Amino acid sequence: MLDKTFRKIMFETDVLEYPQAQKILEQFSKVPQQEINRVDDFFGRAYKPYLQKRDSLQLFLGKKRGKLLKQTPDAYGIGTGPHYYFVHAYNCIFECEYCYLQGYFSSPDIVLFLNHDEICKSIVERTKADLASGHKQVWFHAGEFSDSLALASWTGELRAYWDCFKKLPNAALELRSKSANIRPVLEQEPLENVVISFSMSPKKVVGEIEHGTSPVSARIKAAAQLQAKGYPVAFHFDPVIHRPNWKTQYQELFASMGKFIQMDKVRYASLGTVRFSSDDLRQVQKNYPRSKLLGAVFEKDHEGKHQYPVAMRKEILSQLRAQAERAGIPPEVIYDCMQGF
Amino acid sequence: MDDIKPKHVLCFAHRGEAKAFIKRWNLKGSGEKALSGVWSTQAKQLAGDKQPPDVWILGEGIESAGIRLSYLLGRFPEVNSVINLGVAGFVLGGVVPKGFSLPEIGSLVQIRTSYGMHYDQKVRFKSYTNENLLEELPVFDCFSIGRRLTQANEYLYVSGFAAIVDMELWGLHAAAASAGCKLESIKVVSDVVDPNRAIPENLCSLVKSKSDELSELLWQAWTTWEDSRKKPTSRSELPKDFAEQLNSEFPQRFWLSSYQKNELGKHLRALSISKSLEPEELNSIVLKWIRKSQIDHIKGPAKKRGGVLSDRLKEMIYAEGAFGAR
Ligand code: SF4
Repeated sequence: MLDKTFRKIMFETDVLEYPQAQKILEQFSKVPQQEINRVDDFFGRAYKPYLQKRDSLQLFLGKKRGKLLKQTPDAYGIGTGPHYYFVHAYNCIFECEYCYLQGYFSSPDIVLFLNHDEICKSIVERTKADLASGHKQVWFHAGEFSDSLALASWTGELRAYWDCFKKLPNAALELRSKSANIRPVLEQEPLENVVISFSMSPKKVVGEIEHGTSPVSARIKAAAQLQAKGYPVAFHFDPVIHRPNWKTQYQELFASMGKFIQMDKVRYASLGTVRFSSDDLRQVQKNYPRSKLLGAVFEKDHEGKHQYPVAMRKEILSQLRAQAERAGIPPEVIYDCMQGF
Repeated sequence: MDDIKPKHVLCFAHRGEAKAFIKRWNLKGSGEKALSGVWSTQAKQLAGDKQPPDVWILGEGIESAGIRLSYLLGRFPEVNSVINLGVAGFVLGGVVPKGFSLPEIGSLVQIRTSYGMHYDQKVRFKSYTNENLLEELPVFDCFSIGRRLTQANEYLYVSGFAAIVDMELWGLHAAAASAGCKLESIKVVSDVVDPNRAIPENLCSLVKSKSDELSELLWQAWTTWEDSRKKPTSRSELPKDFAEQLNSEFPQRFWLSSYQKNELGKHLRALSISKSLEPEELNSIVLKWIRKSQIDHIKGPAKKRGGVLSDRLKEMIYAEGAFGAR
């Protein structure tokens, strides 16, 4: 399927040293390929409209240069330790109408960075430094600029991260996804400090807004399968989209989850309502003018983010928290994500 | 503004490309020096649609063609739509959008996104995208180069952005955009370049040796464009301005400041999406609901009722059910 998705592959000469690059190029041998010096010579050089990802998507293979780790915004993850994200890809094959990536890069093309060895080295150094300065645990997140599992079968980077985190018991890795593609995870052994998290929305919202992602039933089954085999699993009920009957829809979602998942073993669960920067909101309005997302009024919060009115957000979050607890997720692992009240 | 009829002009790089148009429409070149390259009909008495559009010959090159177009759009401010017809090369290895195959020499393609590079060899960040595409023709993106490329690796670079390459389009878009004018482009593929092989020496041979044939192909492009634009569109009508309807149904009962009108517009848009109602349908439901809920009877100034109306509609967005009992 993906060899029809990508219309062209551009790869840096430098990445040919990685066997993974060779593998990807072989797998997509039918797609036109071009060797280039630097991804930056092309990617983002000229503005490419976001929705052209549907028919003119290019894949770039390169090395991530510059800062390999970045601190996450406040209230991003659970616990008090520092949280970082690392970037091993730009952009995503899915198309969620609320995705902030549509306004983030000036191109929807996918970039895969293959220097996982260097990223892992930075993770080790950062962990050592943070532990030395008194922190008990350090968190690293993948999937800030892409989906962590969607392409993992082709890109094959998970082994490197497993090897890295196996040696870092005081560090934890989160792989965040809307894909039920767990095959590359199952090829690794379960590790206590590598958490696979799934973003969850009611079936109707997935169908209307999260185009191309795995159906929610498939995500539930994937999570259950991982859990049964001993992999730590977490969930993000974020972003919550206000739709008519949202309470019932979430009740149904929790009920379906409860049938397959041991809710008391869920590592953590985040709650958050949909929010946009002004630029992101403009992009949504431009790309999806009749999106169900826009069936709402947004108010600017103190950080300039467009959010549902405070009372509405509070109601949604308290309802959802109550539903999550009733479904059996331990209250102490449920947290609000970047709500900025 | 919306009632102004579009006045199209057709623009070409070379006169040879426009031959078929000049001949068929019996166009005459302007005698004014500053308007050289402007060809118009002598049958000025033909009204409206029957009058053929003017043809503008703009010359070659991003800068010079762009500057010429800017000048002419300044001289003829009534022109609000430019159709560029011309030749372009196809670079093997460039991105072919899903659903289309490699074009053959002599085939017509319409351009979606236009990228550009100037003489300084720097790619311009700004690109121009035409959203208004014909169903009849394959869609490609185009990269406009500032000079004729002679090296295979230069073509290779271009192919990282687009599969079609020409020498004007980006400049024309820049000129049209700054004049607030719409621009569409249809190209005839005149050459296919394989950047991994030597560049053929006589690129654009079609332009020189077969200009009659080429001009006929561009005529075909024009008729395709014209036929397609005559088809009725399936797009639903834009909703009538709600504030106007409100005023005619409830004369002087509601007063809204510009800010409130804007807010009301936002609420109505959100409501039409959240309640899955077409804007026109929603407008009439809201008007009925105002009557039923007697907001127009609330005592006090019209400004107060305007505020209440806006607030109540906002609440409706999140309320379960439709505009029923409250
Ligand atoms: S899965 Fe995540 S990264 Fe991909 S489109 Fe959806 S929100 Fe964006």
